[in-house]
Amino acid sequence: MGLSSFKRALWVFHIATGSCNGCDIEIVAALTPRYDVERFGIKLVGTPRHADALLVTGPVTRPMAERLKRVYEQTPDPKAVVVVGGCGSTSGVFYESYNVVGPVDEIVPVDVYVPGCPPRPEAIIHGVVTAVAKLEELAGEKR
Amino acid sequence: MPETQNVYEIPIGPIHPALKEPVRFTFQVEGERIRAVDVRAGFAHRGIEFMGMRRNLIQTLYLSERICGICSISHPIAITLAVERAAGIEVPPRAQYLRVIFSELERIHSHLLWAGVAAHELGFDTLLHLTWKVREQVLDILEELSGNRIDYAIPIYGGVRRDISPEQIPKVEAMIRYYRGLLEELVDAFLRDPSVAARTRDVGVLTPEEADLLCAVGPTARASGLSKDVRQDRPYLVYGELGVKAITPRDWGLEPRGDVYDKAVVRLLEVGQSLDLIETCLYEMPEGEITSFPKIPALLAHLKKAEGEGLGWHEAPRGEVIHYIRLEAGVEEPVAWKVKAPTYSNLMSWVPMFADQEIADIPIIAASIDPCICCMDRVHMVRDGSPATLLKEDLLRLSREKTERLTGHPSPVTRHGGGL
Amino acid sequence: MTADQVKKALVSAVPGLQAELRPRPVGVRTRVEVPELWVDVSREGLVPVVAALKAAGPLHISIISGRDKGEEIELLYHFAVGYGTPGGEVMVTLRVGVPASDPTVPSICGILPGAETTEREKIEFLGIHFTGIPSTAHVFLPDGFTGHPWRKDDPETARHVKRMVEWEGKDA
Repeated sequence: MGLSSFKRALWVFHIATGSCNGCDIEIVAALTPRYDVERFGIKLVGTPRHADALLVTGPVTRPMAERLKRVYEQTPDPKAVVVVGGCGSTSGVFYESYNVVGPVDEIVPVDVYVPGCPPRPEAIIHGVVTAVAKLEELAGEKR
Repeated sequence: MPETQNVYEIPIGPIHPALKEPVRFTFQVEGERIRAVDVRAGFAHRGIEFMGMRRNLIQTLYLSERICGICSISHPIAITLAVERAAGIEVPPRAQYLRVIFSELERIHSHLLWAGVAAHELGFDTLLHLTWKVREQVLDILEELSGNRIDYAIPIYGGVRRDISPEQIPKVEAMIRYYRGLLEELVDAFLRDPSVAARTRDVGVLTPEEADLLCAVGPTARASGLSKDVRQDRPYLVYGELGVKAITPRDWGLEPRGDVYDKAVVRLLEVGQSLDLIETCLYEMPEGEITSFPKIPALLAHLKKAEGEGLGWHEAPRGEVIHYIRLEAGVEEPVAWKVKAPTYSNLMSWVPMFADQEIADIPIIAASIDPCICCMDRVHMVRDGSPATLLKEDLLRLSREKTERLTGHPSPVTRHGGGL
Repeated sequence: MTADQVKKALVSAVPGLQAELRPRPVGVRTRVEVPELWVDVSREGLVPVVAALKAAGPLHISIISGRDKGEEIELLYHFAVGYGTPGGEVMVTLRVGVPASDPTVPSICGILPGAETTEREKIEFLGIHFTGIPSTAHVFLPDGFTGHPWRKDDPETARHVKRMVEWEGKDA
């Protein structure tokens, strides 16, 4: 991806759309001392309006689909969507249910998929870095 | 001031304040005081039981692991116990000990996780990072033993899928020593800290009577002084022989008050209890088989012929998990499967706990039962763009300001808003 | 709490009630038997039986499970009697059958307020009517969802099931 250094700090917003908590706690683990993504300027923020990227976990349940769309719309452009986990990427084990409408890319456009059940924090960081590369490309195009 | 009705409605969630998972609260507030609360769950409802009743039992087992990533030993233990009871399968002794070891490792990781989240809700991020740093140690052991940090795939009908090898035992012992050396420091940081006490004492109280009537389970009930623990009261696996005693704040020399502080006491002491249990199991565990069905096709064939019903229960980190299953001969799917997760029983306890509390205390009270929404949902709509909606950052800010007010100096936390 | 004490309480509520004892052997070095009682109760007998259990000892409702048997809907009330007694809890399961044409059962929330969540769940999933329940609002399913997923061949549920995996034999 040819990214040697970050030109910007990346703020991410995390939305759980019915995940099992596995990916969510690994995202938190990525923030805490062993992995410590804040040293790269990657930070979780409390509202999508401040975010550069969305971290989406979970297979998207029926009531969350509309909220996911709304959060996506609230995130300012340019933005990247990172799906964390197997069930968000492909629906995984949660197929054939009356309350699951995912995977995530059926609801909002996705840029980066991080598979795994759950992915390791290293993989999540790699996913976010890939998103940074995409955002920098987008920013370059606009210039 | 004339007497007026100044009750406002504040919806919070489902994408929200204290928890990472979707759930919605609607508070009726008068000034800073909460008068009433309505909880709406179901946002994470995936219809797991419905799906399970359309898949064979091995697939259902994998599904049960994904009810909750934090309880990915507890649900499989409950479902395997239920199926083994229904199909008349014996579990080899070594496998019973191994299940106990894994479930206690899970308890340590879950309680430390809660302690960190609770510290964060209080605006004490240093403590969050400390507890999550030390939590990595138990995740390393779980990864060493199972191959994965989360979702371990250990229990299977008739036993467990992985043994603990003699070379791995010293690593587990080293972990036990590490936590024993550290526990005193952690307990000190939480329970003897004046600001933690100021924010958690007499906040979110659940009286023993309420806990009893509302059928609360796990640390939520034990913090109110009820000596209830499935491992103690309704023995299963080898817990009966291990002599597990339910931990209440009395073990810390305090009369239980049922507040957030007491819930922290119970959880931190249980980490020590789990260490003891793991150690005992490592020494007492007999040699032998780890499963009565080493071949999956033979297991599936046996399960297909089985007819009957069974219950399986387990004390998960958050309280009682119970699974009911019914099998019929000739069909691979269970004809009935019901999962009860601990948060399901504790949901109603939020109502008395929130009554007459301050808005700034919402995050810590919500977190105090250690809610696991994905477990329970297996929830409604916020009024679109309601101006009264509090952002998660606002809530954290309120919570932090309260800490500062109480301690009289700025809390050593990052001030730029961010949250988990 | 022993199984005999529970049986006595059950008979005091509904004379002649038959309880099946299914002892559960547990342990490796010292085997003990954990008592489990399975009891068939009519819906008229439900409230007196639960009241008697409550009088017998601290009562905890674990869950109500259930299934659609076609013409009948079977509800299973799983209780722990003597809740919080070390080594002395008795698991009692009350089996209540109701006709699918008239799935009405009295609510036990008056005796045990903690049963509300699970009763409301049965309204959603099996379409049971609980008389005297404090609230009938949905807990788990979306508000507009009118189906009952655990009913056999429920058309509303079938409409919502998304066929994701077409290569799976039976769904192709």
